[in-house]
Amino acid sequence: MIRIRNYHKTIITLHILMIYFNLLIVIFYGGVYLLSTRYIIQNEMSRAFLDKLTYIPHHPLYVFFGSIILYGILMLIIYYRHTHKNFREQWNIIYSCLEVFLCFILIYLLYMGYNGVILLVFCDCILYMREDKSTMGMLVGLVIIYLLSNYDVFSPFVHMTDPDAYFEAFSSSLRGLLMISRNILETMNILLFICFIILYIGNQIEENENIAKELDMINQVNQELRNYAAITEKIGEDNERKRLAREIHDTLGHALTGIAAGVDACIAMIDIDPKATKQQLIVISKVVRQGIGDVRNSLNKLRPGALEEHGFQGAIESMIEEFTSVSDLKIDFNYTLEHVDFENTKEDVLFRAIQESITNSSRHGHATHIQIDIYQQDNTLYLKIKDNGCGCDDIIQGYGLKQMRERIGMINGEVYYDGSDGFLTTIKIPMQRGENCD
Amino acid sequence: MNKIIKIILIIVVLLIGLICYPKKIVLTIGIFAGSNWDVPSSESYTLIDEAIALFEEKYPNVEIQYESGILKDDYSSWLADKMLAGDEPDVFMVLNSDFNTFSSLGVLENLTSYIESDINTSFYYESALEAGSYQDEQYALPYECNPTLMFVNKTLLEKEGIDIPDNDWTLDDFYNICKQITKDSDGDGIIDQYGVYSYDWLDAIYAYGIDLFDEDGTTCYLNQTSVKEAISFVQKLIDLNQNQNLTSDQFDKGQIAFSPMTLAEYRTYKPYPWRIKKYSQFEWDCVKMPSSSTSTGYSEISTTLISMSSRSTHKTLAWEFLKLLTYDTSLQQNLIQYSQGISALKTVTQSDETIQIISEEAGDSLVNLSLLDEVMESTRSSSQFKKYESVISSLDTSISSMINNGDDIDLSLAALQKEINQTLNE
Repeated sequence: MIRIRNYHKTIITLHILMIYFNLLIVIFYGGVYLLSTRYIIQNEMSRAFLDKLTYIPHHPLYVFFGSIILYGILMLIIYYRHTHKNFREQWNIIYSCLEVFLCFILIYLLYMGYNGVILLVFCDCILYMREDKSTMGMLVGLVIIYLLSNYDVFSPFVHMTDPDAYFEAFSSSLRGLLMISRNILETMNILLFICFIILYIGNQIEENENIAKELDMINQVNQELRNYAAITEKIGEDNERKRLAREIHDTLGHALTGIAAGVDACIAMIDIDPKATKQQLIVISKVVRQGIGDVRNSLNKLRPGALEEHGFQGAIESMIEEFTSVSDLKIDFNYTLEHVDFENTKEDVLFRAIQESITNSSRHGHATHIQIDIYQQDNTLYLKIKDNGCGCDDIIQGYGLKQMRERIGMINGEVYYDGSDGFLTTIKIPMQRGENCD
Repeated sequence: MNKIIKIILIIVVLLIGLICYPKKIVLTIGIFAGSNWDVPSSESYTLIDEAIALFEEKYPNVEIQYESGILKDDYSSWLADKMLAGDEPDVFMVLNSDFNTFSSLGVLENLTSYIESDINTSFYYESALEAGSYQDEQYALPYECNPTLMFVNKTLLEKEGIDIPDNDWTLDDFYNICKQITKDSDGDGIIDQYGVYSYDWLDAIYAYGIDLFDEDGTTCYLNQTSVKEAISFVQKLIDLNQNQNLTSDQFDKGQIAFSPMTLAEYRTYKPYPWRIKKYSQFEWDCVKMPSSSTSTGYSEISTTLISMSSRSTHKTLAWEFLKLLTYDTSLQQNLIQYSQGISALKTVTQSDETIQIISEEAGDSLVNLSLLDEVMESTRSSSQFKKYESVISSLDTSISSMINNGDDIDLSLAALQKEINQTLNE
């Protein structure tokens, strides 16, 4: 990661260097045109100079200041693009086109003597390039413009002054000096461009390598997570087993032990005191019933297994059926979720909440009718359980309601209780990404 | 926010004020002092001043400025300086030697569309108009013309009992008279009477009506029989003098019968003050240049051209002024009076006033209306392409030395044609 940043920094520095270098070259060219015009006029060579030209030059001052101003605008656009990086794609294209246009006018103004500005614009385009057809087209266009924007290529089609004539107007020593500086400046610009491109490509390769590395790392982490999940599952299974054992031991085992002891006592007593034995049997019967109740409770606790069997909706439906079959409670269940896939925890929590609410309605509210609605609205899951029971004005949250609130809270949901008309439990749970799988 | 709006408002108001503020449009013109044809001229600015006064009266918001005192010799360089610096005048005179270069550089405005909508070109003599055209487009209009005539020493001819030739005389007539005149008059064994002075090969080429170059200036046609004839004609004339080199001094003394002379020179030296100074020892006059036959052949015409800059910011006004200078008959009529050339407008050259001015100047001259009109109709401007000036001067050097050294014309011309074609296609 650190190396990427270093590369990027160097690229930006090179780009800035190119910008200033090109400014220098533009001033150099404008200056040569301006000064050689002075020189020619002062040395009374203008008429002979005109014979050497193929077309009348622009006003030398316009060329000098015009090219600097145009370049200034170009610099401003480049700077603006640099500081405001997050453009929409269309704007990117518009700015690139604007840069190309400005740079072409600039080259035309300098009589096509210098076309290295295109390299600068090329760098700028590549820097904000997104790999799509329009940018590729633009880059290809730039290469074509670079090849064509040359006095020798352009002059047969467009009337233009020969830029070399200005250099040749000077005396040979001065001309040599100017030619050398021109060549040095242009070569430097090309060298900067080449460095820029090399670094840019290097940067791209580096980035790709890093991405590959990161992908590898993610894969590794994934594998670890999978292993961990497997272990957790195993632990969970063990815990469940222990819990089951404890449950059986605590309830059924306890009851059966009691029953066995009671029955043994009855066997011993039945001949001596049948009346007391009868009494004892009544007690045993109570214990048995209690045991049955405990077993049922234990089974209820294990119920989410139904979820595995029937799915979320099926599990709730079968639970409702069980409730309605043993009581005269009427439950309407309105399930309007389509194509949802919840996490197990969420299903469990919702399942438990419905179970608890129904139990409460029947036990505390003495309700005869319960309406259950599950629906989705604005990326939020709503669960409403309303009964026609007596309700209560002042809700005292017992163990069940607290438990429910805690559970719902664990999955980022909210619970509202309303006891003003019957009892209404409203649960709101935000949908998570990936749960809507349509 | 309010501050910004105020500032913008002030700027807008100032801008509107600046745009609406009545200011004078300044039109610059470029002219040189003196005559285009190297004859003494004292009233070179009179006509321009008159035109400026007329124009400023018609367009009160326009002011026309010119830089005075630029000599003709410096003019080309002065104009080139201005062009290079990008501030050439809006309307300016163009020398014949500059016209091709300037047209090819694109510094002259193409006048073709202006002319089509504004001017009847049939009013101009064709050759004068042609002088301002470059590759079929008109870049300049003729301001003043100067056709070439043939000077005749009347005294010398009368002495030899020869009639002054007619205006439709041929090269053969010309040669015969020269042959008759060339002799030793005082009997010292040396020829002291000569036929013609400074009649060069180009005059003969014009007399034969030869086109040396094609229209684009990419091919030259030197190696053709008529060119050979023309050159051998000049050689024949020179041979008459038996290797004597003639000088202008001999011409001024009246020892030579003929010499090509421009109308401007004629008009300068024929009237009173200059006649005394220059040719006082003999009677003289001008006739048309001889041609190879009565139907073919031309004589040369030199034209002062006026163009406007293609970079002028007031093109319509510049065109109006250019039109005034070149197309206004009353102004052109005054030109006859102030200058030594002749108008390129047919109506002016043929007008009674012109006849009167010229006959007043010439006295008992042969040069009259019919001659001038005829001469103007049968003149031809030099070809118009960029390398014309350089090519013609190198041709002149080669052919002159060819004539003087008596080289074999066939061989030399073939070699020269090859060389010139190479230069033209470089």
